[in-house]
Amino acid sequence: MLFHTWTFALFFAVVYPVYLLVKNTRLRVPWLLAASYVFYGWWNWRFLVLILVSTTVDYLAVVAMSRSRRRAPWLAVSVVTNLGLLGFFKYGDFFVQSVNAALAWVGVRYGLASPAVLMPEGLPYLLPVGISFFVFQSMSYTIDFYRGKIGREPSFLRYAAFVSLFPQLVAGPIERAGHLLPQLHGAPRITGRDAADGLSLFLVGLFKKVALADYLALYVDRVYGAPADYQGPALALATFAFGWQIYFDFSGYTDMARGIGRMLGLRLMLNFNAPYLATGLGDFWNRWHISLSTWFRDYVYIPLGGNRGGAGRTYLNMALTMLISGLWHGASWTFVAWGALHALGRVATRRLERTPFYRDRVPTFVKRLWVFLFVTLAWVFFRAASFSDAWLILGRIFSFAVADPAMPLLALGMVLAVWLYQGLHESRVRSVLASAPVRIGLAVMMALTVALFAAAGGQAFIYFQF
Amino acid sequence: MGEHEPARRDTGDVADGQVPFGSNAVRLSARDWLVTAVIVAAVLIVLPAVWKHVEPLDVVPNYRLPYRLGDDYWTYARWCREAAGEGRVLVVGDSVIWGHYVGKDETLTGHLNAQAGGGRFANLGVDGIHPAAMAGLVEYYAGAVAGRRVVLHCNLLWMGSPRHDLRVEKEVAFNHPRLVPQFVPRIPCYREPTAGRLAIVVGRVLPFRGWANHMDIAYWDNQGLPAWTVEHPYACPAAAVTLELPSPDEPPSPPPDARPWTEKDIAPFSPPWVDLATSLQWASLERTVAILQGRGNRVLAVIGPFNEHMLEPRSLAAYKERTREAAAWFKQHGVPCIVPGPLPSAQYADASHPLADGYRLLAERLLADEAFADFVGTPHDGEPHDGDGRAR
Repeated sequence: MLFHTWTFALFFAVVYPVYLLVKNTRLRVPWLLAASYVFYGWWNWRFLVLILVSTTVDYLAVVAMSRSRRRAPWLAVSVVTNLGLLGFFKYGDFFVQSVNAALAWVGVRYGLASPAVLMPEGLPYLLPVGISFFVFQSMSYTIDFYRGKIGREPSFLRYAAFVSLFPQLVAGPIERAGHLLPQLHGAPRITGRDAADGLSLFLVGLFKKVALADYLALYVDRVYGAPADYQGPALALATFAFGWQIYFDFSGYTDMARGIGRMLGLRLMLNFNAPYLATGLGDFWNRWHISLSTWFRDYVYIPLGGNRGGAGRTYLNMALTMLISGLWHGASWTFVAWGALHALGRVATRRLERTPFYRDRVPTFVKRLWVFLFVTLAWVFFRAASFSDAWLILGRIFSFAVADPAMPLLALGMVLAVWLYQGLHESRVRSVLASAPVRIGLAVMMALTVALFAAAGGQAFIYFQF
Repeated sequence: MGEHEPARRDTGDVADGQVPFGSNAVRLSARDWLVTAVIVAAVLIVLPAVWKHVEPLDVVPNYRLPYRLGDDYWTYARWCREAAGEGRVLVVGDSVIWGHYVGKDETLTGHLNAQAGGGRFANLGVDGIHPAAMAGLVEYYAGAVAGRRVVLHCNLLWMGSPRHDLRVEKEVAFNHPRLVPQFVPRIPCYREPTAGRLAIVVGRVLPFRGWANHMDIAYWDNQGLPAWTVEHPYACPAAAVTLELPSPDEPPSPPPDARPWTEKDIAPFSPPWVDLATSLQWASLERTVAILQGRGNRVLAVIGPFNEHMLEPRSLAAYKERTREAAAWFKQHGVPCIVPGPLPSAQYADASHPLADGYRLLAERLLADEAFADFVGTPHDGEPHDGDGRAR
């Protein structure tokens, strides 16, 4: 069930009025849970088994931790179970293929069987939607409890609602128990301002998804689908377009998620903060997929030692974290390469970004441009179907050949308009953008564009595959 | 990522002191929303209505829905309003009525108009439409013809096989999926996801969606504005809106082979007819009649004339049996029914489509038919009628 479909509109039209009726009663959490399970089960009801396993194991692990002096084994049960689910469904095939390729390379004829053979009879081996998100969200609860940062949640239903909360279940933001669980206690206060804010966020997200991301996808898919047919200008513009497509797609989803959450009286965390206005790679990762960045910071980078072990150790920890982040995004070596590129960029620029020269003397425009160009070039590995495609694309981009890129001017204009809007929003003329006529004008324009661009059914979100 | 520092969130509007509202999102107040909703609703409602005055629909004699606009139900509805003029007899059907192999003046309605004089017969046929879609077309887009006299063409070829009858379980791509029932009755071979079905249902009641679909079909190569700009990257989409609709005489694409079937190396065949009692297409035809009668239309049915020369003897008997059943059903439900005999073999282009001479002969036969003449009446006999098909 996608947010930008009539199926979701119908679903929400049923769920929301009932929620408002029961929000001050004990039925609030069960109703949220039931709605969330229907939402998730809509893709494939069998996936509910996985979310139930993750939820139950983590809930019981914390119960066990709270009653035992030895907490570590129970944390291990939680981590192994969650990473096991993730590993089997997301990385099983990738692992087997990589091992088999390595065996073949050294001349061994035999290989591992596909993980699909481990599935029960009649059940397909599929990647469950959003597994990377809910597994991380659930694990954060056990880890934070283990660290003594949060208390135990007594209600299983409330905990299950936290793990499966439908607005952010399949593509984030990845919420922390310490932030979201308290909001599920007691009755929420939902004001007219919340409803207006929720609708505002939803409209912006809808516009990003339907009018921008899906539009750019038409050009990107065409060029990246057959990169050998295109010359450097088209490949460069398609890469530029993909950078914006994935931003609009993913941030559009989280805007809609946060808007729905706001209407339910829940404050979901900010997940994107104009990342293409970043002035350094560190700044970029503080603005892009913030909930994942902070998750990796708190549960990977800091446990590895963070920046406490000297420069060399810090760089190593950063690089490892980026590589794991790359792999989180997809079970393919191209994603690892994408993570490695960012790791390299981060290691190479960390010290530079902290110098007074870079901070004060380099014009903001130049800093933003170089970060954007680096991030955009790195997307080549993220989007390309294979390494050979990625090398071909990069080779042609840097051949500087002259050819007609045939990118729609309308799409280019829309992207530049959004970029300009974001830039103005971080400038001194911000107050003009916040005036009522501009706000209303933009909202009308977005609503009408969505109405004109909307296609039956709706395209899936890119991040669902992660 | 990876720094042991709190994430920077310095540009969002802090809504509640804890979670920033958004990164430069457009934040509307309740009053802003009210104004926005009024403006958007006004545009969505007014624009399609105004557009009808901006874009001329040139209803030339023997007009029919241009081939390229075959999926443009918004224009079909406009044509229905134009066609529903006083005294007009509206002929509804598939490509046999539309005239797949002939020009607009050589269709059945073209010949009826030529032989009867005046422009009393309006061609409301749609190329490629089948009974399941026709019921939807009549229900959602032909409301303007309420109370008028309707000649309903019945092409039994749509009951010629389980596949034509849309009852096979394997997915089948068929024409006009947006017109068929999306949920009930279930069409086994129709596999559109629920989200798409709901979008179709909603689109039927929102004039703006129909108008947007019209713009896509009429000006943006039936691709939708975004995809059109990908094909025409440097063209201005607004410049493509020439306000000139295709001609009703524009031939189908690719142009059909308008030779008699006997010259096209087509062998006689034996379709595995389905029973009318269990046929989805026949049930849809019954539904069409019910919708029309419910709107006060007087309905006359014309079955065929099918190209019986193409049928193997055993299949011909089965066809005739179904023709009898269909005629009996129409009569039982107060619908006068005419079953013209088959045309000469050389006047068919295929199993069901006559060529120009065939249409001329068919028009002659219909005009000579007492029931048809009685039904057509005089040019001023166009008043609304009771739901049972009889004049008030």
